[in-house]
Amino acid sequence: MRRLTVLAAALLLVAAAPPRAQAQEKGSEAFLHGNDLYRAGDYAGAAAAYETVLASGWTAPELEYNLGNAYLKAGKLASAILHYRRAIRMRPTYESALLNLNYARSLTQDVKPDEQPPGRLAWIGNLRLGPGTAALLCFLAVTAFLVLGALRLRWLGARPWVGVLQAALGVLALLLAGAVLFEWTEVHGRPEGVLLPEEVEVRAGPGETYTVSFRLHEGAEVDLLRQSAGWREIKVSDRLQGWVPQKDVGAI
Amino acid sequence: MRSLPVVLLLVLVLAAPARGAKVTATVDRTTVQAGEQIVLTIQAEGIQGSMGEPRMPPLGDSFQIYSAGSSRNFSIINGRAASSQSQRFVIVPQKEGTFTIGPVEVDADHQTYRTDPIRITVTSAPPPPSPPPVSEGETGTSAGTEAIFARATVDPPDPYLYQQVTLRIRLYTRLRLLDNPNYAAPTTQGFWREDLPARKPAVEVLNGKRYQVLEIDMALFPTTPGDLTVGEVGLDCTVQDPSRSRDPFSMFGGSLLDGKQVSIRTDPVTVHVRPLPPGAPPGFHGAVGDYRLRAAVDRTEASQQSPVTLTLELSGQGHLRTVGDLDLPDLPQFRTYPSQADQKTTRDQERIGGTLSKQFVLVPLTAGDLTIPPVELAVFSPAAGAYKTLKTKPIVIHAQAGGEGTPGATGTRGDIEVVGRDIRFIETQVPAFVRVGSTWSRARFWLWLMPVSMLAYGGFWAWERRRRRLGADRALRRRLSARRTARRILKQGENRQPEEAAAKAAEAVRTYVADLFDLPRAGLTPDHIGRALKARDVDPEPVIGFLDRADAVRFAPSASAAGDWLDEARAAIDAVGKPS
Repeated sequence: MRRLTVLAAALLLVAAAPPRAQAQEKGSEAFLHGNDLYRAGDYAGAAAAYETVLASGWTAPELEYNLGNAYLKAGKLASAILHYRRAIRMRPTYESALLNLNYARSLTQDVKPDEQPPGRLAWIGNLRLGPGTAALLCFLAVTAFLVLGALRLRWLGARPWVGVLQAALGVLALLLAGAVLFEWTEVHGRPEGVLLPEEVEVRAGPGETYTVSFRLHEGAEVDLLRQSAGWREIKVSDRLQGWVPQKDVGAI
Repeated sequence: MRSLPVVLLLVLVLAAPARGAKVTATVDRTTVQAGEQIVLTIQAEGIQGSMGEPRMPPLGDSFQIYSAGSSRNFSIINGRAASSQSQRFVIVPQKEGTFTIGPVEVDADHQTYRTDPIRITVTSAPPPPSPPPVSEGETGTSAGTEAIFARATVDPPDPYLYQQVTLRIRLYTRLRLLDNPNYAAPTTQGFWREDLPARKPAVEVLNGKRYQVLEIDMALFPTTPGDLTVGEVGLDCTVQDPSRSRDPFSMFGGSLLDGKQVSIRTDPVTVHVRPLPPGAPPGFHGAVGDYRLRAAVDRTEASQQSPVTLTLELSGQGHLRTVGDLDLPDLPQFRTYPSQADQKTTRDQERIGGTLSKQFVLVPLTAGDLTIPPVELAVFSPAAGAYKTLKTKPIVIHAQAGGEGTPGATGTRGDIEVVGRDIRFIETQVPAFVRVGSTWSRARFWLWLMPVSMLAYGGFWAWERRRRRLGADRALRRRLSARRTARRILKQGENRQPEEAAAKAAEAVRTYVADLFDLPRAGLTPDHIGRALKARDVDPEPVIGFLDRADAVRFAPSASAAGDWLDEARAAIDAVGKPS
């Protein structure tokens, strides 16, 4: 009976493996093909090859980064910013993507009115771990905290250094829980987008009949708010907010 | 707490009885031309409650009436409180003649007050006017009616190439706007376009009439000489429709805010762009504007081979795109490295301008007083209508021998010169792909695993607590393990001779009772067991009877099977009961 169970589990694993392996193989082919086209200077072709991987439902920070590069070289600034942002959302400390994003931003036309230079605490942004790493470290810290608690309970007793160590682990676990929460709010709490056309008229309401409040240009990064019948409400700053056609915004 | 006296005072004022309450109706003038406005004010003084809606005899089609708001006043003069309320109406007579307004009736404080009638003389209206023409000094077009019209003007109408032209779009209205006008930007082919800050609404008097003026400005910079056209400007407005407010006092029913759409399209405006005059000085590369050029160094004393930072700054009015790059003349006494450049565009209410600055790192190659000669930049000044050559003052650097570098060395250490900027190259290694939208899948796995750790700890904690409790309480430990111990002894009696089985069965029952009641196992007689069971309200008969029979069979073998003795022992144990 036990042998049968093991055999069934192995069969299940074998049956489940092919789709992922096949996807990885197909994705690899398209990715490498895109790289070849990029090297040959066919940036639009490279972007199309990378997009086929995305269209099949698979992604990776490196894929989004290469897509950003291909679009930037092909002159599609907004799409480049969109894919760099997606790469950074998946891996917040992706240095090459951050650098190229800054370069792409320097080519955009709009400067946010309340944009501030990096403050003293800007270095905290460099400590971001990403959701997976933050959750793993948080799990390890919590588990270490509990294991140490169990050791104290049974074998180590009330030794002072053990108490200090456990308190430190507790604080670390709380900090990492905060990091997980922060990553969650970054991904789910504040949807953002990039404006795709060369120039977009931002209107006071969701329709062509509303007053044009201001104009934005290709690559402007905005917060996404409500949706209404093919229109999307966007926010640039506390004072600049309005509606644009849904098709003109790419969600990050 | 500080506001308490004020509140008490107000309460006293409101509670004071109405003395000398009166309601009056006044107009700002009694003789007007048809189509002009009269302001009618109904004022109630000395009443306590709210003034009701004024009522007046119907005026027919002779007048249009609009509500112009209401107000309340409280005042204390020489210790006496006074209150007044007023409602204002704008009345526009439609035809000439003599008319009587009122008497107006107003309900207040459960009484009806009547005002005196007012006689109005209306003279004939002037001929229907058209939008006032564009004033001198500007070129533009007007469109609309006398009540609401728009005007698009350019200033100056004949600019030089790359000189700023200010396009002003003004909406003049004597009607009440119910919404912000919807503005369609004009086509500006052949211009660089920059928006100018929004202006506050203003009031302007044209031909003796007050207009509310909304203005949108933009700066245009012609990029080619000749006649260029600024396309039509569209303004869609929602204004109050006076034709729907005929009945003077039905306005309170809700027709007051009925609006109508007004679309105004100005004609295109032509701008005559003059080419830049001939005679451009050498080094002129198309910079147009009114600028100042300044040069400064971070220090004038330096060691040979140590860097000095020179900053060139061009600031003023004009489009900085015409300026191009700032550069230095040949400086043979220095090694020159261009450093960072910065450009800031400024826009005041009227003009576009900005500051272009560029830094250079200069390394003195020799010791002594080294002069940075004036830096020159040729520009065309639209204000003066002539070319100018901007010059900075010469700067002297006192370079001392020695310094950070090694004299005579051909190469010196310094900042790495950045000569080009581009993005980083693509990733070449095939990544591990994940499902789109599964950024959180890995994180979710670890977060789900966290409760497992916590449950494991909780289980360990409970087990450890029980272990400690049992370690500290011997009687409890015996009681909890009594049944298990009895079962183990009974198991030893299986498959044995009836005599041996009976002995094991009796031992199991005795052990069970001893463990259950924390009694010594050795020397536990049926009498002891009987007393212990009675003390705990358990019938001792089944147990004592069983033990007697089991002891008897050891000495007088019977025909009973071994299994019978074991089953009887189990029944006796059950009769004693379970540990609590």
